[in-house]
Amino acid sequence: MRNIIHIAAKDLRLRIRDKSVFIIGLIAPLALAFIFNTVFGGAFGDDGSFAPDLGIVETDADQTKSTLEEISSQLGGTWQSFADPSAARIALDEGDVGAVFVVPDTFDDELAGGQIGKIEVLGAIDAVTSTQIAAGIARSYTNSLQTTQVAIASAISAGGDPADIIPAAIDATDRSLISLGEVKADVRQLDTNTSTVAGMAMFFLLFTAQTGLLSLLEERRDGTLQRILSTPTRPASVLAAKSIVSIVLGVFSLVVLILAGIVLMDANWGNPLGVALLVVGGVLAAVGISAVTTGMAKTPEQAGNIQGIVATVLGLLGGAFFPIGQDGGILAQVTALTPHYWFSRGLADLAGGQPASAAFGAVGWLLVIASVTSVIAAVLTRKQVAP
Amino acid sequence: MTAVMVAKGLAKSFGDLVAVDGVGFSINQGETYGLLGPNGAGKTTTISMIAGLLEADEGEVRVGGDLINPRAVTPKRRMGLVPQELAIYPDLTARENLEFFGRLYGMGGSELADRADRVLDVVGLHERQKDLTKEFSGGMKRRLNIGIGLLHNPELLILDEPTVGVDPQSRNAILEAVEELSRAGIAVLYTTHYMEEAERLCDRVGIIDQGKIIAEGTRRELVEMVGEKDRVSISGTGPLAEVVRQLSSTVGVAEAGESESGVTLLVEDSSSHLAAILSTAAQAGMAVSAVEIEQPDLEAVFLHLTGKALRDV
Ligand SMILES: Nc1ncnc2c1ncn2[C@@H]1O[C@H](COP(=O)(O)OP(=O)(O)OP(=O)(O)O)[C@@H](O)[C@H]1O
Ligand SMILES: [Mg+2]
Repeated sequence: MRNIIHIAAKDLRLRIRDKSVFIIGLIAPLALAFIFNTVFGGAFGDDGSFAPDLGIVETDADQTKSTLEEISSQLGGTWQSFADPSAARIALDEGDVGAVFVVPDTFDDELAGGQIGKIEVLGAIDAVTSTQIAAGIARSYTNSLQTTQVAIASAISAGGDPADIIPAAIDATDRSLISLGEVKADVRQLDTNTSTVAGMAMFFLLFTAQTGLLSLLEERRDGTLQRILSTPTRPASVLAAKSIVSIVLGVFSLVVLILAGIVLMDANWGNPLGVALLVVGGVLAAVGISAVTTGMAKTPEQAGNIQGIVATVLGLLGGAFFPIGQDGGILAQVTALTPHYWFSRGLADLAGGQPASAAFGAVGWLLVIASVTSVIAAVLTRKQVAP
Repeated sequence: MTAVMVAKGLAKSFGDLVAVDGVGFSINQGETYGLLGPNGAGKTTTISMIAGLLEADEGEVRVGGDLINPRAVTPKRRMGLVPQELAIYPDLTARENLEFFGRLYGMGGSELADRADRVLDVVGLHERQKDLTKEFSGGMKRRLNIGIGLLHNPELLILDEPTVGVDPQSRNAILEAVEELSRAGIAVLYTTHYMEEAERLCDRVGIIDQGKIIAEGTRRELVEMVGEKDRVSISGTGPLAEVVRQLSSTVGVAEAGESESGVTLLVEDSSSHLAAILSTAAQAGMAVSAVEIEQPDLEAVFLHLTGKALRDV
């Protein structure tokens, strides 16, 4: 219906005229990108992933030591050795290293006796991500030893010399499998910077995306909605026009934010098609949520207030302000209901040069959120467009 | 005469409040119909149902034969609504406001441009067409508000108290514009609580109070319906007692009495009886110096019907 276009064009013209397009679409995302750059400046690696600086306390378990070093070096960070745990702690405190492995001297020898010892990880309080990555490496390594151990035990019982067998067996564990597969998965979930940036972007988007829909309530208050409805225009067309304006403004502001991230922060967001799909999915989800809050309100002011509350709660749950829900539990499930989570998850899935298809899952969930909220909003807003 | 709009048995309640209670009337081509009633009488509610903005609880509206309700789309093309409250965009210019609503009516191109020019002339805003309407005076905004309603050449123009809060000059411009449209053959539905406007513009008037049309007709019919008579004051000197006696039995005179300056009569349809009355007075020996006729107005009709004044001014 052509009136949808006429109404959307009129709304965009008004938004340009009252300068809100520039504030919402340009100034706000640029300011946000600038803040991200200041706060999270060095966080982004070349491929958007994270390079942890790791180390180890000197140990007699030479085989394990060299294996851990090899795995860690594949992540691209630095590697250091410390004479003892207290030296490691000083370095951690000073931020010279993100996390340090502590391997018992007897670790390799115990393997011969069928025992798998415990690898400890010392972490710096302000390098949560590095610590968790180190823990992930330690976990993957010991897990893989469980299979190796069977081989060692049978070799020894067949009469081999443990001094030869153990190094050979450890050497034989598939390191690429340990490091890149499992650890990268950990990095994805744990890169707090990505999730905070994505969460903040979504938080911001919830306000951008409301602009178009809010004008429905403004027009209702000002009587122009009734006038539009006295012309040959369907109420649904008015809703469609307002949603289109919200989507256009949302996409515009998010694209500016992402481009500013590339220019200012040298951020590599990943496969452009994948990012584009995430942007569309994220904007649709944000517009759907905005439509629900608009549908609940009677006045534009009220809608703005409700939206503020909803955006804050979703932001908290979605990890926009601090990371949340990474250790399972009820919060982890609640956080998966937020578009923030799926948007950041999608970006993480694209990290490391993954193809666009890596983001399909996240995009799909964003579209699910968009559809569910749209249906709810359609019911709620029916009375808004009723004269 | 073909009826452009027919409303039958319209009723609307808001919760317990019955705003409109069985209103029905029709408007013919080229006719200006006035809905006259005090604040809260149900004028806007009635108009909203006729314009298809409000679902009626009962009754139906047809415009040009098409049923009107909030789901009707194309029949709304036949109508132009001028809402009681201003409904224009302050951040658009006068012309942009007109063009936006014109497009919603399916107009475009040179047709739209020509009509916009024409309407800007009619409402006297041609000079200011490129100014944002937020810079307009109250009267100018009202005139634009009206202009939007007639842009697409509707068969039925609905005006809801268009002159409220308007300076006398703009008010006169508005009334003249409505008169001109009526002459051009447009059917007009005009609500007001100013009886002078109803008397000046409307071919027929429906008097509405508490959601009901309590009387309807031409001004003359309404006045006669309630039996209100013209007050004729004849000033002059002479044997006033004799004059009064003779006039009392003159055709059309219902009452006669002496007054300070002469005699005062209550006369039915004074215009047709005035000549006979004056010659009777002269024959009875009265030297007439002046004659004053006060016709009962719709205000008096309303007072008679409801026992209350149309507005408390
Ligand atoms: N949306 C609504 N909800 C509740 N009550 C309403 C609503 N609209 C109108 N009313 C009530 O219905 C009655 C008729 O209102 P309406 O606006 O039709 O009167 P009106 O004749 O246009 O008055 P005015 O001359 O003041 O414009 C009033 O008592 C009003 O309070
Ligand atoms: Mg009214």
